[in-house]
Amino acid sequence: MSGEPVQPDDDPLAPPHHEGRFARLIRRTEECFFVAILLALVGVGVAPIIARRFDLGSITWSIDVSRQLVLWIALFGASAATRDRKHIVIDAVSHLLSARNKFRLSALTGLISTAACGFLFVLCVRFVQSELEFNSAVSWHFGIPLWILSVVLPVGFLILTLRFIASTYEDVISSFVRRQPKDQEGPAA
Amino acid sequence: MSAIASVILALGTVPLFVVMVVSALLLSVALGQGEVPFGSIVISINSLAKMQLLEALPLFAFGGYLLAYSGAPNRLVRLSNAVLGGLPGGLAIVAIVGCTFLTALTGASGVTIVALGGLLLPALLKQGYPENFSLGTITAGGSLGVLFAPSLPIILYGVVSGVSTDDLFKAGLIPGLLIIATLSVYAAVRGIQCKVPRQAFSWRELGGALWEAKWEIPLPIFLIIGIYRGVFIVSEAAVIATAYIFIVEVIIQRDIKWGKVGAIARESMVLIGGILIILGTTLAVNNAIIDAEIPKEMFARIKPYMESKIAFLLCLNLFLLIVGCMIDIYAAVVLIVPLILPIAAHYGIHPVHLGIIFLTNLGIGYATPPVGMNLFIATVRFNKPILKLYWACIPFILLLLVMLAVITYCPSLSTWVLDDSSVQAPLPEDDLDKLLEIEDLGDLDEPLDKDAVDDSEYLEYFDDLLDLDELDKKPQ
Repeated sequence: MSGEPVQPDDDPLAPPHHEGRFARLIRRTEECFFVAILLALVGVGVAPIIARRFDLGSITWSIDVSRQLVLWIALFGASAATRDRKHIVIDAVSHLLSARNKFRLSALTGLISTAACGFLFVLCVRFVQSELEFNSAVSWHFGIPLWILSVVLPVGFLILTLRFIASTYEDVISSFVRRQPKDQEGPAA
Repeated sequence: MSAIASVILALGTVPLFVVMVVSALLLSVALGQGEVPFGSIVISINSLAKMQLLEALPLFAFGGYLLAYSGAPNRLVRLSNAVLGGLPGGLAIVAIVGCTFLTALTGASGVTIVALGGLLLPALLKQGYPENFSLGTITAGGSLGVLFAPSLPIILYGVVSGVSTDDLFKAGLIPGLLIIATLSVYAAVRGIQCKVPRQAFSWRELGGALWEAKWEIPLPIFLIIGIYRGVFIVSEAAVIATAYIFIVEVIIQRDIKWGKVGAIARESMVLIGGILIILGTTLAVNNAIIDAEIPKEMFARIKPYMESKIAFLLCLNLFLLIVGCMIDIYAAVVLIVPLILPIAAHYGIHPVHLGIIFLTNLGIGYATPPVGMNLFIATVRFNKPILKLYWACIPFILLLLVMLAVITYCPSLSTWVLDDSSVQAPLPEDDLDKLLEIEDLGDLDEPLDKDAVDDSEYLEYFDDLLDLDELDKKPQ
């Protein structure tokens, strides 16, 4: 990201101008994480094809590992979508509202989303507890206990909850504080 | 009550996955926690790690995005232009083919407009095509790429409906080609009307374009042979195609700098994460809805008004067009397919044909005024007022609607590739009801208490189940 700043219009992949250092650090971490997961998916997917090609026997763990990675992508991808405000929504009313009311609506929906994800986080913690209670002796591949796999659920929903709190906070501030003209278009869909 | 609350939330810009979470919780309360425990939603999300084929989605999305942000779209356009540029309306046909190809690889995510729009719009205008026609070509022309392999919506439909994706890919081929042909004829007519000069065919240009695109040409060949001929299963094709695209675009061609790979990975995972989390949360709601036999009840209610298959298909088309321009194609597939599939089965519609109808409808909805998503992406990308884009897309939408009618009412266009055994006439209605009733013995998951029933009851019970075999023997 060195060199002259690039306008987002010219470069759709450029991060937003107003992003602070901490947010950018998180973004870069996320980017590295997603590249690692995707390369792992490719590696894990190629392994059985090569093994089959060269008669090295069947690799039974590959499909289970790639499906587990899919769950990670679902949770962390959704978390990134929250940060970018790119969740899939049916937006039927916001275009009827003024810029300030858009922020207010967005703050309200943020509150509902925070509450829902927070509740899911609690349910996920209970799920892990029950896995620990009933499946603690069951092991997955490579000797990993099965319950450890489910830890990603509460972690994912905790991050989602925190991100919804952050975006709701931004919207609440924007609803009550006079903004610069560039921000008066309302929150991104 | 819970349905009304969910609709209000959905219309008020609440993310769809949150709407599904709230709906599942409300259903738990409405149906009683014994029926649908709160924890079932977590189990549904966790089941994402157990579903077949899902791993193909992030891989194809990443591969498609890598391709879209590389120099491949430019090379693709140059090559198509070298082949098709000599036809009347040549460059417009190139735009349609190019957009369709890229949409097939990136899913209907609007990336096509971002990747190809900046290149094709000035070129079309420079050659003398009217502005509205050019805008319409790019905005609406490629939306039906969703019918070709390895389109993400087709894979998702396969996952949700349990239909073989290989069959779906084969079934989408003829409808997809028909749509390209129709739009191309329209482009040719407009090219002649507007007296756009034709480009002379040049072997030299074709050779140069082929050489430039030498690394990308094997990709569609691999996908066509690999997927359509069944050499690879879809998830293997996803792994190989993505690895190939990564090696070609990042390491060999170096179109994409290493620093940008992360941003591309993140952007594609934002799309896929958004889809998968809806899939996970919707499973909980759909399971509850199907357990409560709501599709059966819906069918009983609509049946008096819709006796014939044609009437049902017409209503389905209208319904999906409205849905398609309000909801993202992926969310629509996840939310609606499980509800419509059993009803369509009652009318004798093959699930593969239903899939093609679904995707064609939703693809058209993407560019349909007033709220089709491609329109908004195009208005930002080209900096044009949305009303102008409405007008630009209308001729394309009308043509696509005609093709939709053809695809919907000629099922053989989609089902001709399937084995005869899988395209059977629908079961007589009584038999279907019997099947559904037997399926409803979902309590079988809890094994019968053997001590509580004597052997004769047991045998009677399994005899009932075995009656199913007799259904197959009945003349169709």
